[in-house]
Amino acid sequence: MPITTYDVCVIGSGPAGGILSKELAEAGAKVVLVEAGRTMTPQDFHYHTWPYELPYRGMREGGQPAAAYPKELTQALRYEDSDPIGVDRMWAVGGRSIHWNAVCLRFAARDFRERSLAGIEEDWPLSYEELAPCYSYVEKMIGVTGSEENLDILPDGEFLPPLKLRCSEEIIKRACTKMGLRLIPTRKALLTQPYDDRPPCHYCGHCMRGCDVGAIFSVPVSMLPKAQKTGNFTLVSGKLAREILVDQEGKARAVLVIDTGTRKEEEIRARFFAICCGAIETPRLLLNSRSPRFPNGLANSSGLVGCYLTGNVSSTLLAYLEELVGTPPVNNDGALDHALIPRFNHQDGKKRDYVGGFDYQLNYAGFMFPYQAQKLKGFGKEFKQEVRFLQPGFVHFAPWGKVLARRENRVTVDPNQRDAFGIPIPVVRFRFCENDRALLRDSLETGREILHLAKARLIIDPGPEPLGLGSHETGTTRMGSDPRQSVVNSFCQTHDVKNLFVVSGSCFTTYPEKNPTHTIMALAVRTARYLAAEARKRNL
Amino acid sequence: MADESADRVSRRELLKAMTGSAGVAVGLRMLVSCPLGATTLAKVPADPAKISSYAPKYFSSRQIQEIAAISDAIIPADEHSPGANAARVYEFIDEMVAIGDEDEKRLWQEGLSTLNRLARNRWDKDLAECPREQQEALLREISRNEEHPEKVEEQFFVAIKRLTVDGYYRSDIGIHQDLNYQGNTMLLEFDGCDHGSHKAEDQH
Repeated sequence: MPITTYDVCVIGSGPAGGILSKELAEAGAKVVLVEAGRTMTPQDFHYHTWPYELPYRGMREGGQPAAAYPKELTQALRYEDSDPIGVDRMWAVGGRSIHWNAVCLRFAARDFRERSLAGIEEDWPLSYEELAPCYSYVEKMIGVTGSEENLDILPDGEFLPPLKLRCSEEIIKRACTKMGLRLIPTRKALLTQPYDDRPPCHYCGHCMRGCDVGAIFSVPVSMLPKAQKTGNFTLVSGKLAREILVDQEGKARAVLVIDTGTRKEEEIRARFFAICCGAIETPRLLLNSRSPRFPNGLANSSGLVGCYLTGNVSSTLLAYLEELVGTPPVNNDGALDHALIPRFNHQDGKKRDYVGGFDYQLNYAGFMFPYQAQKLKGFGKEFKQEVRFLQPGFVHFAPWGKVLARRENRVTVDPNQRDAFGIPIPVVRFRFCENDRALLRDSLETGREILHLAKARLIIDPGPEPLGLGSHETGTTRMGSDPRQSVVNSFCQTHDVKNLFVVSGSCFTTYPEKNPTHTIMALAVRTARYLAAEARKRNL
Repeated sequence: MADESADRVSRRELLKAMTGSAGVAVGLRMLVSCPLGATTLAKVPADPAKISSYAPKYFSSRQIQEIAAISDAIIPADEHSPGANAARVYEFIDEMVAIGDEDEKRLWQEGLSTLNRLARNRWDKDLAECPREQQEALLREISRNEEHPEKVEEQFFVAIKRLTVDGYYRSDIGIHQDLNYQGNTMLLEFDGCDHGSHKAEDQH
């Protein structure tokens, strides 16, 4: 390959890197997108495969491409002094967009102002009003289903027609209405009509196994072809970023990558760099990029790279509704969750011993396996018949809540433990605090109340323990206006290194109960515009 | 599978019908999976000869007989659908325990031998030789503490019930014949609830 200095090198091809690359290529920049993983093919997926067509009846794999989770990656991580959590990392062109559930929720104005409004954490250096045009741009670009609801806590967007509610969701909505709560169609980057040259959803209920028709937004299907069309775009896959190299002036000049197959190293040079590797691998890369000028890691003069790891606290209630049990089975699969109960605890007048909010997402667990069979007592004909009787009444009801951003929850690296490529592994230290737990307990209590009112004949309660971070890891290169208190500014530009950007959930100053990806995508659009303007100023 | 080519055509036509706009080259072709609706299932009898002809990966053939007896008592055939043996749950259990860790393997070995000992104490017969009613009586006893198992036979019950449930409800018999699962197929529209009685009052 001829030695080239690109205008922008984007590292990581998930929603952030994918959108950033495409926007910059369309703006005329020569972009290289570097990705550790490879392109997944249909053969890597199990879109509609029946469990009995798989080894171990599907019990040994998660339904997602095994090739995206090689052990060179999955084993290269350690937890220390942590609650039982898992963090989600993968190697694939498209990142997690290739098998995500696609929930897209705009943050509310108040979600950017926790300090001003709730006296906790910090405010973002960015307001909802500034980000709103970017949310709109993303929605119009990729297609998001939803309905106009006029809720301050969950701003409306530019929507394709909403998903229709199932019987179980209408029944829950009826109960919510009695309690003064709202239940609305959820919002997802999923097409309910043809859009963006992609077909609409065919309601096969397997969103999180990957969408075989492209109805769910993914980078490989929706962004890369557009980027390729510009003639300004190069995808380099199968290359793991080892460290970012700086020049004499302390500007980033190249990323050193290792080919995961041949183990050959090379430098990829660019005028600007954007790290888009998620909340674990992003700080890892920065902390592993040491130099005399940056002995504590690149862009880490604040010492905060890796700090403030957050996510969502979540749980799962499984219920069986009296009005639906024993009815003839129908095809309920749909597009997984069709219904959402947005946050309400900020305005219902009840006194609480915690801060922060939670929402409920209904029915993303899937309808094939009878979860009640693992919980009902007994055995034999009666047991079997009870399992079958309950199944049509199934509703999955999941609270998702805010986790406080705390400095001591962090990602560091261990130079004494290296991965298969000799790169120090990330070490995750994370503990939930009492506020997180109190919030989850309250969400489960209200959840049970709603389900009782909906005449649930049986509720399977998981107990009060949080189920990890929900794959929504965020916060580890936080955004702020003070370089001593943050890593990047409101344009995702690192304070220390002006040609180095970080676009990822890792930039979130604080993180509410809402899913992160829509805000990540909006930040990618915002950063692309800023970076393009910066690049033009320097006469590129 | 019998009608694979017909299904492939029908999926392509369905995709074309849904596309609407100018040709969609999404770069991912649709995989053919199962035919729409219930599958063409081979009739799988709960046949003792079939069980004894299975070549185990971990358990002995004798233990496979015992596992088959227990799992088929946990999820038996009834008027509605075949049971665990017809769904070859004993094969699934054998495969799963074969890749389990040492603690798991030990529990299964001790559990099976304990059940045999209990059966011999009571009825002078090994578990596999006992009639179904006696096997069920033994299972009722060891499942009494199902929510808080302590003795090895109680822990063993929880383990074999768990794998029986996993294996059965992930089999074609469990999914299609017993539960009559209607999903994992393709719809042009998702219609949603049209029952007035389910909806909030202002929505009827």
